Amino acid sequence: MKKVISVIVVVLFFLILSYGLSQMRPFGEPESTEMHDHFLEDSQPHGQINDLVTAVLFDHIGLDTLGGATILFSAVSGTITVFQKFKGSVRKEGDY
Amino acid sequence: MMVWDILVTSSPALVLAVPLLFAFLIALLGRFFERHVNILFASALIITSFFVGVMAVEVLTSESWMYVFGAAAPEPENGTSFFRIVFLADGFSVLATITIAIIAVVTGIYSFDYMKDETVLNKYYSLFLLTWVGINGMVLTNDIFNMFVWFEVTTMASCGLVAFQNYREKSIEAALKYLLLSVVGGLVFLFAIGLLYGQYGVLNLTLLSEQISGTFNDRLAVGLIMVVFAMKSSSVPFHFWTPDVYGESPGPISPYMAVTTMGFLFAFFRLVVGGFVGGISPQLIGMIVMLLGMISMVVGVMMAFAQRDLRKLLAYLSISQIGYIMLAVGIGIATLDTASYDDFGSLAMTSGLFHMINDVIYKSLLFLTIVSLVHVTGIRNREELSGLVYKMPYLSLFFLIGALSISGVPPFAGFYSKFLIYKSTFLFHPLMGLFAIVTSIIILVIMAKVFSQVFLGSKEDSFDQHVPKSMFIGMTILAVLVIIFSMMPHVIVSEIITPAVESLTALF
Repeated sequence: MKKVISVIVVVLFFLILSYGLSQMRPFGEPESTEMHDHFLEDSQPHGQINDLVTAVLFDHIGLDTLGGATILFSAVSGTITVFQKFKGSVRKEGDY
Repeated sequence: MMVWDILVTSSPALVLAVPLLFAFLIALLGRFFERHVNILFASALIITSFFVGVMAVEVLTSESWMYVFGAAAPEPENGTSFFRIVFLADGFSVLATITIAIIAVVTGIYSFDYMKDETVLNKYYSLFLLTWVGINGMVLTNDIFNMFVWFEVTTMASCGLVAFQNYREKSIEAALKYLLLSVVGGLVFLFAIGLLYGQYGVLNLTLLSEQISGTFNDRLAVGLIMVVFAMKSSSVPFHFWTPDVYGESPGPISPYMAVTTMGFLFAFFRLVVGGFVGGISPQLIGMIVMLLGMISMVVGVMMAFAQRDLRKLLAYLSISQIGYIMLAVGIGIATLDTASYDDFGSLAMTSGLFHMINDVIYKSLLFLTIVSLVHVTGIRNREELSGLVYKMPYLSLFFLIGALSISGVPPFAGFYSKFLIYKSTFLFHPLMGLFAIVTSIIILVIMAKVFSQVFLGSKEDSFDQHVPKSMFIGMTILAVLVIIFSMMPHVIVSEIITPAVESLTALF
């Protein structure tokens, strides 16, 4: 019974999300293209670099790029911590 | 003077940059200077809270500003700076960063003695600072994709912290549960951002709030985001990870996770009030937030009533406190843009935000006292403990301060925010106000029961340890803060909370 309910919920969720996707505007044509135009026209003079991808990645959304690297760093740190063979804590036993 | 001005204007960025730098440094150098990691960590705590203070003083005494990221000089006159990543230094971010900084510093100090028996401490401190970076970024940013990035940083780093004592199976289990839920939640959040970006072509929250209009996709995206953030802020239908994570993580991480939850709640309010409410009906969103709050309030208390495990009991109580906050802010949202906002809506908003900082302080005090108690005695079940007041008079004093505050007994800090919540809720609907009061009475009953069971009663001499110094200092700081908040609530409200409410509802 529990499984049936969860399958129904997942299918419903999938259908709603698919309906949402079908309602989206055509790719690359949002209601306001201001941001796109700004990237195309002003990236070169503002970022002083000819490669637009680099200009956007390291200038406009540079903080997101840094944040992405930080996500990787924290994920790796966390994984190392969990899989570390501890030299041992003094208090290993007990429910504290 | 020049350098100082630059430091002040870039303090929103430095609040992130300093702990980030120290997190990398500690992870890198910690292997070689294992004895000096503590010093690095302490200086990270001091410098970061210094910049939090600089930002707070600047915003509260003169004016708020936007910090625009990017190499070229920003050009606000033609509005292109909105296409870059923008950090808002306003009253609301000041309230959030101060709340987080207080608990981060206290739990950091507390960790020195609590964690001193553990190895690989450099990873612990590094993850601790990374979590701080994530929460600060989340509450400061005004760009929804950037918020997703900090959301993920917070999630990853805090999961590492929860699972830090990897020889305890329960904490690994709690961390896995939290990680799975959070990663799925993060993906759903990303999907919602994609829906909004595909529709409007902007990511800035302020620009988005001008364009959002309430089509099916807008409603879907906002609904998904609300579910994700309700899950991360441990509101009731999605609360099942909370007792595990609060109860099984290393001691100081319990209050730290509580403040992380509060950071998600801050980000939630920023997203909803600063971005989505205008286009979609405030009444609908406010009602949903209110309903989530009501359920959390009642269910949290009911679950706490039956708990024997002290740390899980506190976790359930903290769910009910989250319920109070969501109830109050939900009323504030529901009355936005109507005449009754001036009557009681702004009061509800003020009381909700005041309860956030208030609650996180006394809740952390309670968590830390219980953690110290468990650390010293090794017992978590409240029925097995008794007569601790003879052994640990200071600890029981701290617990009493926290317990009276969380149950809203008059001279203590919790009373003031709770009283404002009762008042505004009662004006909105008398039955709801009654509910809030009755729930608070049940909390008082629970706390009285726990206090009489654990601290009073017959004396036991089965253990002979003392609470280490740094843990004691951490708890003292929080107890003093609770007393300060109890003595001058009007000052806190007028100096910190009112600017926060004004900047949160600036669009209306």
